[in-house]
Amino acid sequence: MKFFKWIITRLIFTYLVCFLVTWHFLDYRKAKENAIGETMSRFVPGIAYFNDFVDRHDHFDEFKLHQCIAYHRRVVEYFSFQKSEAYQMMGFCYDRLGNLPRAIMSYQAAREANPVYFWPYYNLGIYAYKRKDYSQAVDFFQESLQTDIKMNMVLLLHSKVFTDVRLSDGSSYNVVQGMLNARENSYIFLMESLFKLKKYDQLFKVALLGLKENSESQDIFYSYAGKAAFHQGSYEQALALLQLALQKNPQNTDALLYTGLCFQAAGKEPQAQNLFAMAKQIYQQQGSALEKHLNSTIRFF
Amino acid sequence: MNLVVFWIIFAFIIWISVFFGFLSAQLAFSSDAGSYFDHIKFFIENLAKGVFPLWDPYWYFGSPNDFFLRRIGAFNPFYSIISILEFFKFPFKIAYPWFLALYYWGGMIAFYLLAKRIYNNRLIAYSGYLMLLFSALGTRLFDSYMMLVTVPLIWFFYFLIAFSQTMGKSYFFGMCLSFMILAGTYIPFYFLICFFIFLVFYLVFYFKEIPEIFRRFFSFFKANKILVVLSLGLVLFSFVPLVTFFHDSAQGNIVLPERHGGIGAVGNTLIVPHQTLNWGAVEDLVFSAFFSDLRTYKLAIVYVPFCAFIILALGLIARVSRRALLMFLCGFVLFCSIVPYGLSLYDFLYKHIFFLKYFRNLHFFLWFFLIPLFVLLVLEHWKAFCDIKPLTPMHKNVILTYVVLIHALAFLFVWSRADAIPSTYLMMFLSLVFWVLMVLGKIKENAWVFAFLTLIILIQPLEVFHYLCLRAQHYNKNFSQYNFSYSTLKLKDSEVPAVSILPSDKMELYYASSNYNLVYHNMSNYALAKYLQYKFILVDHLEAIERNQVDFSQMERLYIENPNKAYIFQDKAVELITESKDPNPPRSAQRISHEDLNFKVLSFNANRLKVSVVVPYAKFLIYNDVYDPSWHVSVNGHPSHLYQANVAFKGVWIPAGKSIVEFHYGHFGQYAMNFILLIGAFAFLFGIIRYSYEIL
Repeated sequence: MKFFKWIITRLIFTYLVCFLVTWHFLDYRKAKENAIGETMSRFVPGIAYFNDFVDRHDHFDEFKLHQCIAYHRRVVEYFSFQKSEAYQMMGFCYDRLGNLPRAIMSYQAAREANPVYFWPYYNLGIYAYKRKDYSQAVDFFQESLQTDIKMNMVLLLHSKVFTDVRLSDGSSYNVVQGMLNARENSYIFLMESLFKLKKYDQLFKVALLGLKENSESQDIFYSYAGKAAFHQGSYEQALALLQLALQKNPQNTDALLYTGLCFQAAGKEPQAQNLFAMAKQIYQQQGSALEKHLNSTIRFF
Repeated sequence: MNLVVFWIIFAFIIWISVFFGFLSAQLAFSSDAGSYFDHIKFFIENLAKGVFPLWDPYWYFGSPNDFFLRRIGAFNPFYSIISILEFFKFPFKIAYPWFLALYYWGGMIAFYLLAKRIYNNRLIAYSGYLMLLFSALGTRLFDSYMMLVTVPLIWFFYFLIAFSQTMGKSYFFGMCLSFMILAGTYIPFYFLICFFIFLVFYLVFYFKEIPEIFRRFFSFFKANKILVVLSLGLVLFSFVPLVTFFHDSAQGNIVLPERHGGIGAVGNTLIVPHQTLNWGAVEDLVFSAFFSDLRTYKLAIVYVPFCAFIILALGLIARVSRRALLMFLCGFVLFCSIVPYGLSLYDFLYKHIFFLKYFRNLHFFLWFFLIPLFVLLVLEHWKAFCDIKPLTPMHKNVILTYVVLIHALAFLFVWSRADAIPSTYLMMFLSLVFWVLMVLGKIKENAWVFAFLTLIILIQPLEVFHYLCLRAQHYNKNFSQYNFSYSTLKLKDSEVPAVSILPSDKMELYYASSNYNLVYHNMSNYALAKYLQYKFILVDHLEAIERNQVDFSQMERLYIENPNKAYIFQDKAVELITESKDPNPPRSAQRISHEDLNFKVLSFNANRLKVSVVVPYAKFLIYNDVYDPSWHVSVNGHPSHLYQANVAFKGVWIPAGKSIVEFHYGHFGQYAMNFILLIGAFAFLFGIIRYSYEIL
């Protein structure tokens, strides 16, 4: 009784009573509908900025990134059907802010929200690759390549989160091409991770599978297939594949190097040395064909 | 006393340094603040010339200025601060923000005095002063006009409470002045609603004290009969301009198309349809909650230093008091009354209380009243928490645990959101130390404690406002420059060289004379721009048309082609003269340029224009300033009939030879009333200063 008397004479009790009485009369759905609709449309950040930003790393506006995070956090809260895309945008912003743990958490949340969504796997794969966790990178890139490309296109072209960016002023970014490029990158990261893990058998299969995608960088696929064959001791097969790679791109330094190694294994030392010198010269002049792919950073579309 | 004065000034100096970008005109005002900048400049500079501007010739080619006078609260003697600063050669763009800052500071001092009256504790009152000074309220100086209501409202409540406790002339004058300023504003109902709710709950909770208060009021009245009657008379009189303003707006001479969201007229011009209320108090709070990452903080986001919420939480276990209930219920009931969606109370009030139809921005209540009230409630929690006296060491330990628990919960809440700024964590740590020391009885009123408290309260807002200023727009030299071309600004913005532009393609005007709105909506910008290049035109032929049957395509041709004629409305009360005496009238109307030697502007101010015109034959002079029934004209000293020419503008016949034509707006009574009220306001201010020793 004494405790009860103590409780009802506290300020918190008064506030609770008022709150409960009001709650009883409140049409919460109606109040929320208006409040969320009105506030979210006023809260949309200057999203056009991201168009310019998707492929660049030389500038960013911290304020806009924070705004973008805040906005997409609310999208997650109030529009659950767009959760995966919103988390994806948050992950991107956290990444650019240098907050990698938060970025990874966001991508994981995006993956959980939509398990057949390409980009979270792709971005998580890049993080795993960069921290040299190649076996996890293999898992993520394999998952990314198993997602349905058409479904992903539909999502990219119709989700409000992305259309806000896509349709913003001055947009010239090709979403479809961006997706195809990232898919090609997924293969390359996957092959490089398998190479690093010395899983040549699997690498050979992935490289042949990748060739069916008809991507622009077919020389890289032939090169990886040749490298895998070389390490498995199939020098003739390796040589044939590497020559195909060089036909597609005579400047492919990996293919030149491994062709040289094949010649060396066959006892053709002068030819091998010739190729090594050529590979070295090209590498010094323009770097490896792989580099631009393996230096890719995370993206949102 | 000196200690508090030092810290109050010190805190304001910090506030100035935080917002110096705005005060030095490096950062620009935005939103409504820009418009208020212009209108206050117009008002002050006219007043400095002895003109009370009831007409604004620059606002969409002339509009009644009463709307803007009500918005700025014309009977506010503190505007003289601007004139004083300008007298000392400060440009207006510097004088105005400094006036705002000083005015705001005045309001914060009033809040300190109010809190001191209520809690009789300098530390608590000083904390309230800091929390309010560094709340989002101050940021609204730069994007809104909230302070023009909030500051007199705080002063009013301070004077009211002070007067109820200690009958003093300064308090009485203060009450009258703040009431008069509030009554003179655009919608005094904001204030009146707050005051009414306060009175109702005061009566409920302090019913027994009422006779005693009335007895004191009566004794004051008995001792100062003439003073009280005159003062109250003046206060009541201050409602007259408002009543006439509402009456005039009901005549339809002014329109607010943007305010009505383009849905057309709904009776009285000022009445707002329910559907424009989508942005209410709930929306404002939800929107502000979206900015929990304070790095993204911007203007118009509700913010009170976070330590206020810790104090609020600490006081939750304190005992209920009448005062706490009064404050809480005032705020709570007001809040529930301004939720247009979800609670039916607003709908009920909207239906039965006429003045609710004048409100569009219900969320303004948050800024005018609820934020200061919230800080006051926080202080009440502080007091109530401090009133918990531990009877045993065990009891003290429980309270200490509670303090630690509240801080731990606050920390967890902030941490879980993952978007807190560093100063929030630091503030929580310092707050924990402060409140532990408070429970242990180690906090005394000394310089160190004031310094510590200042640090706790200010550390977060300083970081927040740093982000705000970092993102604020820089001052542009073209911003809010008040000059003649200002009137054509909107027209120029949307001007296109094609005649075919549809009215629906045009931006809605915010506020304009209904006559101008009519031509603006029915004619192309091209035609308007071409016609309005010339302020004066002379014509020989008039054609009478029916008011409700204007052929706007014909009118547009006239605006563009400039024939020697004008359209006037058929007015049965006056015998129409439609032709001049010129035997060889020119084909085109005569547009008067600056070089014209037969035309001279003799004098011009907001309400009056005097010109001298020499014409060989009687001609019809069109003055392309918007027609309004309150305008009058005299020719050579004799009143003449003022025509509504070419739908929206003024016209008058002038005889052959030299004529002095004088246009003037309004009547003597209007000017006398405004000047009496202005002088009255200064008299009240003088009264407060004369008896200021009572306050000090």
